[in-house]
Amino acid sequence: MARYLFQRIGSSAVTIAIMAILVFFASRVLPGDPALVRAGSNATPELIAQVRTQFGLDLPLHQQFLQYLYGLIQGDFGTSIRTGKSVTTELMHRLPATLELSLVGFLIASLIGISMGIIAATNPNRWPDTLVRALTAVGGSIPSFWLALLAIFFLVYNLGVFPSPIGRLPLGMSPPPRVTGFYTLDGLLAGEVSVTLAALGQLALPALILGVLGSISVTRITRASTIEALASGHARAARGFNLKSPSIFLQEGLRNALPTVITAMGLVAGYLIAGNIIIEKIFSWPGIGQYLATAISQSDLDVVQGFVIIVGIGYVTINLIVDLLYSVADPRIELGGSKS
Amino acid sequence: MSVLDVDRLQVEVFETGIALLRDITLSIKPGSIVGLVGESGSGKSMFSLALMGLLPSGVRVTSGKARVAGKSILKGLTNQYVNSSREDIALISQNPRAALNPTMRINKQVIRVLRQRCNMTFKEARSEVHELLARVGIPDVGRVANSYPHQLSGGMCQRVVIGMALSTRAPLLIADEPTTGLDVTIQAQILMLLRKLVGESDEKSVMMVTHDLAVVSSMCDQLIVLYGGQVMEVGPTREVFANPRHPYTKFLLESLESYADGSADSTPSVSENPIDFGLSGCRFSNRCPFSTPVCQTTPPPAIADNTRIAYCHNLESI
Repeated sequence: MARYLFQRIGSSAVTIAIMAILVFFASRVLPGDPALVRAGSNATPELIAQVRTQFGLDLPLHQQFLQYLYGLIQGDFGTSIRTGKSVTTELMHRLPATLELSLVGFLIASLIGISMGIIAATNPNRWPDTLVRALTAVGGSIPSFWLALLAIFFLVYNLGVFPSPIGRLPLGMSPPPRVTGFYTLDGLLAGEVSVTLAALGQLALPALILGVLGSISVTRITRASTIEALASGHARAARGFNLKSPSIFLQEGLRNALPTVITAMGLVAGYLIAGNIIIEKIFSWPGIGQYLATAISQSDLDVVQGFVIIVGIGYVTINLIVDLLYSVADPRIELGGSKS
Repeated sequence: MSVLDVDRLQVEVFETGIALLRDITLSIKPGSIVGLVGESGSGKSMFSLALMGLLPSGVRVTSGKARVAGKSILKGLTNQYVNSSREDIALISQNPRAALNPTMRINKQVIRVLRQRCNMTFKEARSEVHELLARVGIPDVGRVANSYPHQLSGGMCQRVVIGMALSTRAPLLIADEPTTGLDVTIQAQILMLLRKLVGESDEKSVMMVTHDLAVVSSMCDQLIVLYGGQVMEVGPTREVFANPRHPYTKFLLESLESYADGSADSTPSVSENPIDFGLSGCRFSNRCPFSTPVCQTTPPPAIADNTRIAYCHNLESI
């Protein structure tokens, strides 16, 4: 186990290193000149040259690359050309907002997905199943921005069920003292329950939208793999021993579908970490996704690189967790491929 | 009282009305092993599924009676199977490794059957596991109980499945090809185990569903030959093997002999027409060399002779 973990962490580091190299060169190929953006539209050539020198953009590419690598090893993603601040600091400052939203979205996705999958699998080809399948088909064809806009129009503007999409806290409320960076937790830690409740309120709608969209693949896979497991030889044998139906559904069906469901949940988690740029933008959520969107439009290369690497680390970590859970869920899987 | 009594059981595809099993009549005495033999498509597996109430959707019992240990297992107006009587049958399915849950240790699986079928508490069931596994000839009980199915050999898995089937205390065990996929030596061990377990009690009977006539000749007291969803011949194994009455049984045994001495390349002198489930007469008539016009139109009568029954129009003329 320890050896396997060691190997996996090693190979993950290699993956991230390769990614870091690729993203550096890919971002240099992007159109747009960061120095022009920084210096402004009325800048003199002298000013632009000065900006280039200041940010090391006048150096040969290989030197820029070495500087970038040297910084990376120390956990330094460079300097934002737009704000002049450390990218590491800025990303770390925004990361909790994204994580909090993603985590709640992920929980909602798992909860909805697994329950809907179970409902469908207990009644295959009857109306609950048909309904669930219709919902996933409709849900799967709605783009996230459209669902978000509809939700804001109806649930916020018309019905007023959720607060306005203006970020992590309502107007006029100041964030709790930073401990974890999760406003909901920090509010509780500081004893300010009202802040926690307000933060939850702001979180609810974007998390719900992410959850609903993420639940679609979890629903489908829970349904399909449970039905498949219930058609297997051991499920037939269990019926042959006249075991009780709920027990068969749980032990033969759901339990054997678990590894596949875990894989699906891992994919959703990865998607949530990387993919909620649009939702963050629409809900003015001050996370890393929105930060990236601004950075791309401003040719802020160091920020783009930092974002890709952080998301990459998150993705690799999720994959590692999925693989570990997979081996727990299916006793036939041996970690590291060695026979015990 | 018979362990199993089936009277004119009919199983049909609901939409088309095609009879997959037609007028099946048979009975199994306590303490006996009965072989249900037939080629693929003969309906032998369909028959055991019908008894278990596990028929695929769209297929149902349309008429007839079936009793296990005196209790009717077909109830209700539509003859739809009622689950409650299934407790008198336990199914030992083919491919033992696939029959066990891959995500549960053996002891948990056995405990589960004991708790749900014998109303034992968890503690009672747990103390019973080792004894039960020892009874089916498992040597290192402790290790096996603690293993997952994929860590055991196929033969060991089949012993576990048989042990679980025994623990249900069902009087009728249906063994559907219980030795397919096992080594020949292991096959023999499993068959001997089944024999021994039936010998130990006077109430238990086994219905062996198989296409392996060698297994049948060494194992079974009684033989039921199925073809095209219809019983061809019933009788004590030794007598049927020595002197088959029905043309189909004759060809079946001839093919076995010619296969054994290598003299023939395939089934002799029987045309290779597929089974015709639409036939109103004898299902074998389009392959039978003794077929007469009446065979095509009328189901064959049961011709009894002491302990034996053959379903044929032309027994005298053959």
